[in-house]
Amino acid sequence: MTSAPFDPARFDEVIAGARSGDPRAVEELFREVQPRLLRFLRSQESVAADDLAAEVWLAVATGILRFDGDWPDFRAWVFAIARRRLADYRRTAVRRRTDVVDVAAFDSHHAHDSPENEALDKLSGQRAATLITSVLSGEQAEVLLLRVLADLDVDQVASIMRRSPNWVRVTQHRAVRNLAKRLGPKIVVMR
Amino acid sequence: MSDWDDLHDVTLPRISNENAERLLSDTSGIDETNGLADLSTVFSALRGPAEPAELAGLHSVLDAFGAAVVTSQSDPSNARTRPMIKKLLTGKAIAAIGVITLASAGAAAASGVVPTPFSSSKPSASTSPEVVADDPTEEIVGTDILVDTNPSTDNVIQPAQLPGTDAATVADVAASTDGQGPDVNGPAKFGLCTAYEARTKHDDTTTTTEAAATVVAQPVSEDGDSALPVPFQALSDAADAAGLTVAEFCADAVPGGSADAPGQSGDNPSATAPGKSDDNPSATAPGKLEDNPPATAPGKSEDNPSATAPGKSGGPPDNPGGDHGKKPQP
Repeated sequence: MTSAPFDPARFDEVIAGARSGDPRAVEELFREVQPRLLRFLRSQESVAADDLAAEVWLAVATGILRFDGDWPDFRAWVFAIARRRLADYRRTAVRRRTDVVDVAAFDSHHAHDSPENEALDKLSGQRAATLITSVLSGEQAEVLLLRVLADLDVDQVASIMRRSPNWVRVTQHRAVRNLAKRLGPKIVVMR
Repeated sequence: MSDWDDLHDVTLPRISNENAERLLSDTSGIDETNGLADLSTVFSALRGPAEPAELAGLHSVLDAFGAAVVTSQSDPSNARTRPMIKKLLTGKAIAAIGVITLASAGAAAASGVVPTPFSSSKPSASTSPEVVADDPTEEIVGTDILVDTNPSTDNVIQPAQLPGTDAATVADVAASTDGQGPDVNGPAKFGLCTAYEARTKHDDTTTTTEAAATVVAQPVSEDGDSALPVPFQALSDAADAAGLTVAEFCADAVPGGSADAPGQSGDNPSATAPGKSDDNPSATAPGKLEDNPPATAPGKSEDNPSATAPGKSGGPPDNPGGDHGKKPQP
């Protein structure tokens, strides 16, 4: 099944089609949102990411008739749902001491001395998200992922994380500096 | 030993807020020579195109949207409250109809004008005869009762026009509708004579007897110069025409009328009193037969028991509610 590339200018038309159950409109939204949503969820909880993504889309399908906003608002809405599902999952995961760890979780951490030693030019989207999560603190990684993956501005991230915009600005700046520190140029010893 | 990295400011590029914002918002103008190339590569990879494995759940999402749309279209507001609202409305509607019915019946009973299908002499043209005959109780709550209970004199029924119809009933109808009185030579002769005799005997004691009371209640003739009720005036006129007195004229009157008269109601004295038509609901029953004579054969009017005169029905009436309206008087 193929569909045309998503054009943000057609968002009103697409969202109207999705509300009426038009498969082409739903697919268009899915193709645009799902990859980044999965990268975000897998970077946070690799085992339950697919199930959490399914729960997010179910919530979107249930509440899309009540949604009122533009394309950035839709992205913010979807990732806000994802963040809440993550929080719910983590609350229940704390009580489950026998949580099974997916083999893929180990596979994603093998054969690399450190994330920054990977060939960045071959870095996939999911590996980039995992890199950010592995080298930054939880809040810094989350701010960067929401800013980049969800393509949200400072105010939207502040609203989702229930923080002030200034806190988001400070955190994202620290996150960028810390990531650059891990990826930055090595010291070139001048001979 | 200090924990400070002395090479921190040397090895890390200086990242301004503007450059950080450009990196995160995917805008151009980043100076990649300033040590930000790796950061730009990581963020570009984050925004990279979808891989096939990342689009595996498309069909389940389509199903979820389809189910959500179907659910919302079938019940857009509240799935739990609507059946309850419908149930309450139905119960209230039934209760309201019941209250209105009881109130209407009570008010009609208090005013003494409770209509019955047996007291209607002429249903309105808008009323379906089948509906009225099949369920007499519908008239009580229906709007047709006012029309049905108003006697009309438009269609005068003559005894001669209804062979086989109860004579007393027909006589009552004729006396109450056309002002001409019953046919004194017909089946009503015995009844008229009996009433006339009773009136003569108790002429001075006006209202002490039932017969006198009913006779007094009868309308006078149109010219107004006679104190006799119309039926008695007709009886007197017939006797005069025969050259006999009323007593002589009535000498040959036998219960049930003449031998060729099919009516057999002579055993019902009340039927002979013209003024009793309002008290005997069966007197108005012929009005039903009048509207649809061919459809209802005499003695087979199971739809409307009142249409069957006492003594002519082969079996018990099908409608028990009609018995009180045509119960033969001793």
